[in-house]
Order: sequence, then C-alpha cells, then structure tokens
Amino acid sequence: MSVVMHNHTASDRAAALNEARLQYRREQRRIAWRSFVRHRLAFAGSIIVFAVLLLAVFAPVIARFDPLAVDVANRLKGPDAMHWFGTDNFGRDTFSRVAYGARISMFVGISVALITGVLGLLIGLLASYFRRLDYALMRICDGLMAFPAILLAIAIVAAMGPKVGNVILALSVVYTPNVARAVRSVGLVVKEQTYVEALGSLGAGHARILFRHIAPNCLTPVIVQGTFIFADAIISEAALSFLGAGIPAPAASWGNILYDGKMYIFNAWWMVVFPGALLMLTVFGLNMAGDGMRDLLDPHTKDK
Amino acid sequence: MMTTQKPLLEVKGLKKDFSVRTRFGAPKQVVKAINDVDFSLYEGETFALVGESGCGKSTTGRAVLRLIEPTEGRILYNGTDLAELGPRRLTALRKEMQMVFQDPYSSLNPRKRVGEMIEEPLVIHGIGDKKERTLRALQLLEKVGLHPEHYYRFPHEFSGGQRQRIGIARALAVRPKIIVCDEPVSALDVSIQSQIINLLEELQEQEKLTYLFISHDLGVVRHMADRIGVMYMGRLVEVAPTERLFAEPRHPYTQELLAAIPAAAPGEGKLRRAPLGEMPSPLHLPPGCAFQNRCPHATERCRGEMPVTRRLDESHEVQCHLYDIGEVTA
Amino acid sequence: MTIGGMTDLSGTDGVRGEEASRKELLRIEGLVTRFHTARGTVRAVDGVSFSIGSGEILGVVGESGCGKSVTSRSIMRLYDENKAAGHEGKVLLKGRNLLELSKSEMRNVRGNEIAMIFQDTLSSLNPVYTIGNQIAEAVRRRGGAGKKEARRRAVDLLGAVGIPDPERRFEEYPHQLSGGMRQRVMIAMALACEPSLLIADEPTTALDVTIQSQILQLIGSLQERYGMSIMLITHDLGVVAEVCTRVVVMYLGQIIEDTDVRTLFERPLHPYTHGLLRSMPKADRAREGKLESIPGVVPSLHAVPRGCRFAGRCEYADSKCLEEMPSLTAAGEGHQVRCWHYDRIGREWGNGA
Repeated sequence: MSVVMHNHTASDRAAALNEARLQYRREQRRIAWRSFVRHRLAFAGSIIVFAVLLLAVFAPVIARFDPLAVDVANRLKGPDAMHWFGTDNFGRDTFSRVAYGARISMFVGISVALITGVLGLLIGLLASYFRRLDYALMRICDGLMAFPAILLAIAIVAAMGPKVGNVILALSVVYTPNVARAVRSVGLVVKEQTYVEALGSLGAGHARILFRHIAPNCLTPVIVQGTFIFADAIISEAALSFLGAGIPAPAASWGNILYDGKMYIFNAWWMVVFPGALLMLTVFGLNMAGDGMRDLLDPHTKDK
Repeated sequence: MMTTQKPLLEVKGLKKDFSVRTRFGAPKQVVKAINDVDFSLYEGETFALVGESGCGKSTTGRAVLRLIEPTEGRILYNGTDLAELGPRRLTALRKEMQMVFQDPYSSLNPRKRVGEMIEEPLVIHGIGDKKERTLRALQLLEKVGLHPEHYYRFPHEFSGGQRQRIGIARALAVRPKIIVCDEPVSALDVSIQSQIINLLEELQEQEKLTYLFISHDLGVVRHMADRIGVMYMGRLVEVAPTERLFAEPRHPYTQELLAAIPAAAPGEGKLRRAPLGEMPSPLHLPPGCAFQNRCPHATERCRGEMPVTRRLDESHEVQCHLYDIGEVTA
Repeated sequence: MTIGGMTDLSGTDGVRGEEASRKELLRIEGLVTRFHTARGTVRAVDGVSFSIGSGEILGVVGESGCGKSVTSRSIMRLYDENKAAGHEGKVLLKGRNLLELSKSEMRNVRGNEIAMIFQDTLSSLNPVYTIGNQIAEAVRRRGGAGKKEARRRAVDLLGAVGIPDPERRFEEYPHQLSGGMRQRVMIAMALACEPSLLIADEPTTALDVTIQSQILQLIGSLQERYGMSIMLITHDLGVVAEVCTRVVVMYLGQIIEDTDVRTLFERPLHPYTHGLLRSMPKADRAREGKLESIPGVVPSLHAVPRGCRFAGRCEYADSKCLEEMPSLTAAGEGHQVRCWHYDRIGREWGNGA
C-alpha cells in the first residue's frame, strides 16, 4: 500500500513543493523589503536617487521651456514663478536645463556603473582565480590607477573627441580597476572556502566554479562599488564638462551649466547654486544608498 | 576477514611536499606533509586516520581524492591508479569517491539554495533530467533527516548539525562507494555530534559505504572505526583494528595519545603521567625517527635511522625500532 | 618594591588555602543578560544563580548558545552596557556587587581580582609585542613593580607555566609559539595580576589532546599552588571530569543542574545531563552499539518555550513540563536540579544505565 501511496503522491508532492517555494519566495521578498525600508540610510538614499531619476526621465514633461531656447530679453533673471531656478546668460531656463542635465548625468552615471561592473567583475574574478593572469591584470590596474583619474579621462576625451559616448568610455576605463580590485579581494577569500573545494571533489570544472559559484558571492562589492562609481561618475562628468572636456555645448549637463555659471557667480548665483545643489544631493543620496546596500547585502547580518 | 578481501582502495608510498617561505626573502624550504604513507581501504569498513593537527591526516584524505596533487605515490581504486588519470577520467571517477567536510559553515555556498546544492553533483555528471534530479534531492533530504520544505532554503537558515546533513546529502547524491569524512563532527555540539555519527552509521549500512574517517577525537574514532591508522609528522606510525589498538598500543606515540584522553569520570585522570613536549617544527626535522624528542624509549639508533614499517601480525603494523621482529612491509 | 603585589601573595597564599573549604568567593544571584537585536530583545542569560567557593574549580558546561560564555562576560562586564546589553541581578565578589561598580572601579577588578583566558590565543595576544613584554606589562599594571622587577617577574611566570627556556622565550612573538605555548603565555599573563578568580573560557578547545592534557594539568597545579578559584567554561565533559570540583550545567540561558563533579557523573538528575553523558562517544571503553542522542536542536532564544525549556527534546516530558517552568530545586546535599521528574529519573539512571 505504501508503494501505491508513494507513486500517487509524486506529482502531488511536486505541486505542494512548488507552492511552498512560491510562498517562501514571497516571504523572503517581504523580509528583504521590510529590512530595506527599516534601514533608514538605504531607504532615504534610494528615495533621493529615485526622485532624481524621475526628474531625468520626465524632464520633457516637467520642464516648461526648451533647455536650448535662447531668450535674450530675459537674460540672467532671478528665480520667480515663471523661471523657478532663474535664467542664464542666454536667457535659457535654468530649471529646464538642470532637468535635462539630469538626463545626461544619470545616463553617464548608470552607463559607467554598468560597464565598470561587468568588466570589473570579469577581470577581478579571473585575477582571483587564475594566479598567472592575476599578476598581469593587476599590474595593468595598478598602471591605470597611478594616473590621476581626471587627467586620464581628459586625455582619453581629448584624443577621441568630446562626445557623451567618449566620456562614458573614458570614465569606465578610469573606474574599472577599482571594481576589479574589490572583486579580486573578495574572490580570493571565496576561493578558499570549503564549498569551492567541495565542488572540486564533485568534479566541477573551472567555468562552473568561477561563474556559477564564486561570481554570485562577489556581487556585493560590485553593487556597492557600483553605486559609489555612479556617484563618482556624475561628479567626474561634471568636472570634465566644467573643464570643457565633457559634454559639448549647447547640450545641458550639470557640469557645463556650472561652467557657464562660473562667470556670473556674483550676479547670478542661481546659475551655480541650483545645479550644484542637485549634484550634491544626488551624490549624497547615492553614497547613502551604497553604504546601506553594503549592510543589507551581507547575508550574515540578516539575522541580527 | 578483511585481509582475505581485496582492497577497494590502496594507497602506496604516498608523499606530499609543500614548499614554504619562512620569512620574506628567505629561501624556500620543503615540508613533507605526507611522507611515504601506505594503507588500504576494504569495502564496507571504516578506516580512521587519527593524529594531532599538522600530522598530515587531512592532507592524506585530500590527496587520496586528488584535491591536492600528491608529489609521489600510487592511489589504486579497484586497480586503477588515480594519480595517473587525466582530467576527464578523473572526473568520471569522482563519482565513486566523495567528501564530507569539517566546517559546516564554509562548506556550503551561502548564495545557493539547499536543493540546488544537492543537485549540483548530478548536473556536473549529467545524471537525470531536471525533474528526476529534484526528486532525488528530495529523497536525499529525507534520507539525511531533513524536510522537503528545506529544498528552497538558504544555508544561513540552518544550524550547524543541519548544515552537516546537507553536506552529507550532497556527497551521497552520486551514489559514491567511498566517502572521505574530514572531521565531520568536530565542529558540532555534543548532542548534535551523536546525531550525525548515528546518521553516518545508518547511511553506511544502507548504502554500503566505505569510510575514510579523519578525526582527532579518539572517542569518536573508537566508536566509528573498524581499523585505525595513527599519523605523526606525516607518517603512518601504527595501523591496527580498533579494539586491538586501544588494548595493545605498540608505538610510543600511540601510547601517549591514548594516555592523554580526558578521563571519562572524575578522579580517573588524576594519577596520569602528563605527556611530554610538543611536536617539533616540520621544517627542522632531526634525522631518524620524528618522535625521538618526545619518546621515553628513544635510543641512539632512533636518532640516526628512520624505522621501517613492520607487520607484527596479520592486522597490526607499526613503524618503530622497538619492534624489530615482524616482517617488513613493502 | 617589597610592598608590591607579588610579595603580598606569599602571605595571603596560606590563608586562601585554609579558607578553601568554606568561604564563598563569588556569588551570582538572579543574573539576567539581555541583548537587543533586530528581531527583538533576547535573554541570553535568564536568572542564573550559583556560587564559587575559594579554591574551587567550577565547571560551567553546556552547548553553544546555552549562555555559559555570556555569563562569564557578564561577570567581567565586557559588554557595551549602553547599547548591546542590559544586566539584572547581582554579581557579588567577596560581597561587593560588581554590577553596581563604576567603570573605573570595574577596570580595577578586571586587572586585579578577576582574570580571563580564552580559546583563541592568537587573537588574544598582541602580535606586535613580544610575549615577555606583554606579561611584564600586565605585572606593571598590577602596580608596585619597576621595569627590571617586572621583567624578572615575567620570566618567573613563564617558567611557572612550564615554558622551557623562559629567558629566551621572553623575546619571542606570539606567532612564533605553538597554540599550547600561547595558552601557557595567556595563563602567565592572567597570573601576573594575581587574581582571586580565573575565568577560563574553553581554554583547551582549540588544542590537540596531548597538549590539552598538559594545559589541564597545569591549570590544576597552579590552582593548588596559588589557591585561586577557577571558573572553567567548556562543552567537554571529559575536561570537567579531569579538573573540576563542582559543575553547573546550562541550557538555553538557565542553569538546569548544579552539583559536585562526582555526583554529576554518578547520579545526574536532569534528562539533559543524561543525554550529554550518554551521547558522548567514550574513548575509554569499546563500542556499545548505537550512540544515544538527544533528538532535535536547541530552540532559538527568540522563541523560548513556555514551560520547561528542554521539554521539546525530552523523553520524560508531559503536559506539565510543556506548561510550567520548573524551578531550580534542591535534590540533595549541594545538588540542585531544574526538572519536574528528577525523582523518577534519578531512580531510572541508577537501575537502567
């Protein structure tokens, strides 16, 4: 009888198990969401970043003026009901320019974070796992890190021309070594864990061990570093644009708005203060989110 | 009984050298972690390797599985020399020999679900389809005393003993013949230890497993093992059936080890002689027997000449100049 | 110099030895240690009372999470009391409640009256100073000794704990020593402050059997020589049998049995103690069939059972056990047990096993 029972329940059990799995997932998600909301730092940071993202995405809806529309009659007007952040030396609406600038800044930031994340993860994993590659890869990273980041970026943009794509490329080259190093140091620890040895004893190949098992354990530094690089990239883009090696005029980016504003800083403070404040707020939010993420993503702190 | 059987696994002249740099800039020195070790595993038995930390017992277990490449020696599994196999055939043979690890925390990937982990060996060896693998994993979970609901959990939700059960299920997945158990209970609490020991024994019976059981705990070893090999400084100094070894330890080191067992009841330990000294540094081994500096019976000969392993009788082997009578093993 | 601590010792030595049989050194009454965690407050130690007599070696036994280490750290007040933990109850050292002392008074107690050694010797010693300097430092902290005197005393201590060639070893760094030797150094440092109580938290757990037995013998002989009391925290009943005079068994933050060591092994009354004794594989006798084991796992401190905390794993448990928590009751001369059924269990242990 028990055999019959057994056969009968095989599919039932599969269904029950699936239900259990889904319920478990829901529960895990609920717990994750709750700890995220409870982590004030991560939550506040994420809300700031999310708000800036909304501003960027919906810039065409929110902005009441064309960011490039020149209005000579209204040059350098202070903030009022019409122009919330005032106008610049060409009479362009600063709020609209800041909103559109957010698009470029966020785009550059996200792109750089993603590219450096993928490249850094790959390089860091290979370096941590294969000792021979390690030396070569790390010396290249050392070399890149020896340059002052902004100079290296200027050099790359100068060689290839000031375009958004080149700015992203330049900043990715500059920041990838940071991620690679962080991943490598975590990878070296993970590699020595017994479960990696256990995989060897099961007969697993290098690719499986490296990408299926070590990689997921190295994602935390990629995500944490990624948010910081996101922030850094926004600052660096602004710096590049400010130095005239970034996003070319007349397109609006926070950097070249600041650049335009610096000559009028004493008679049109709004040209500098608003984009500057937004830049600061965004970076602040990203760094808070990054710090919070570091706490939340550590599986060992979950229970505490 | 065992000696008439053909061994399932034979280890002959196994050596492993590590080169170490003692300090920055100093020339590299060689540490002989395993030095000329011979033993056999018979089907269905539990053979224990005991010794203190650094004696080479764990290294031996890993070298047998070729998780560490041995420097020299042969490892014959059913007549096939593992030490000479290429990667592909070695992978195929890995199904036959699995390992259970000491640390229940670091031996499970924290980012993988329990079910995935147990199915992993089946995926690696291309056994079954997705559904069959899941059913096998569920079956294994029950076999090691866990619940099917645990399938989707992550390791951090489990206690040490439960994690060790997961590790055992993973090792069992490919239906191995031999399991190397590397201190499988020494990280666990007393009440949990006995649960895992009993589980290992039940599984041995059900699955006809052969255990190479590595432990420093003589109580656990006396309970589990059929035969015991005592290691000291990379050498196997004595091999004997369990009760024989406890009743008539021959090697002075074995005698010392047994004397150091904490008393089972108060008062029993008070009159005991304290063991002498500590292990010498493996970097500066004196010529001759490695145990000479702690041995109450050491003579001039021990300080110059390395003893060979001699067979005192069918099942008892010892590596010591005190026993100069038996037949010299190969 | 002659008024210094170490010369006093020889004087008090004999007195301590004489008083050993009657005087209580440390008395703990209703100690509670709470921790605030993200999932709520837990009581890692929940109403623990026991005492240590002068010259006694008290074993505190239990599995991880039973609160044995927390108890010792609470005695030493090593937790951050503002943030992590809160204490209730009394810890009376020679009649003085340590929980009411100011921080600086407590520091004084730690340096002079209670010393502690740990399982992990490598991280307990500072890697950048020689072991000799670290011991000399401890001697000087105790007060009354000059540099030279402290050095001489440190060398003496190294010799006293059985380190061969102490003059030379004085100059070595922690990583140059084996685990056993480092534990000896830790003990020497503890002795440097001439404590009346030494708390040893799993001092031999990380060591090999032969070294463990050396260290236990050392602890035993030092106790006789200096007459201090020792609180030995361990999970290993073999260690308890070896050196302890009294034993306290803990389970999930509570004491479940408190007796002298002989009674514990010969006539234990709590089913958990039974389980521990029977589930331990014995190295001194041949295998006797399957090991008995305690089913299940220790419950989480976040979900402490309502009645007896061991009821869920206990073969004797009935509805009363599930509902009502037994209190620690006297079951004989100097024998206390926390169980509703200890009468029956005691009889069965005598007959059955």
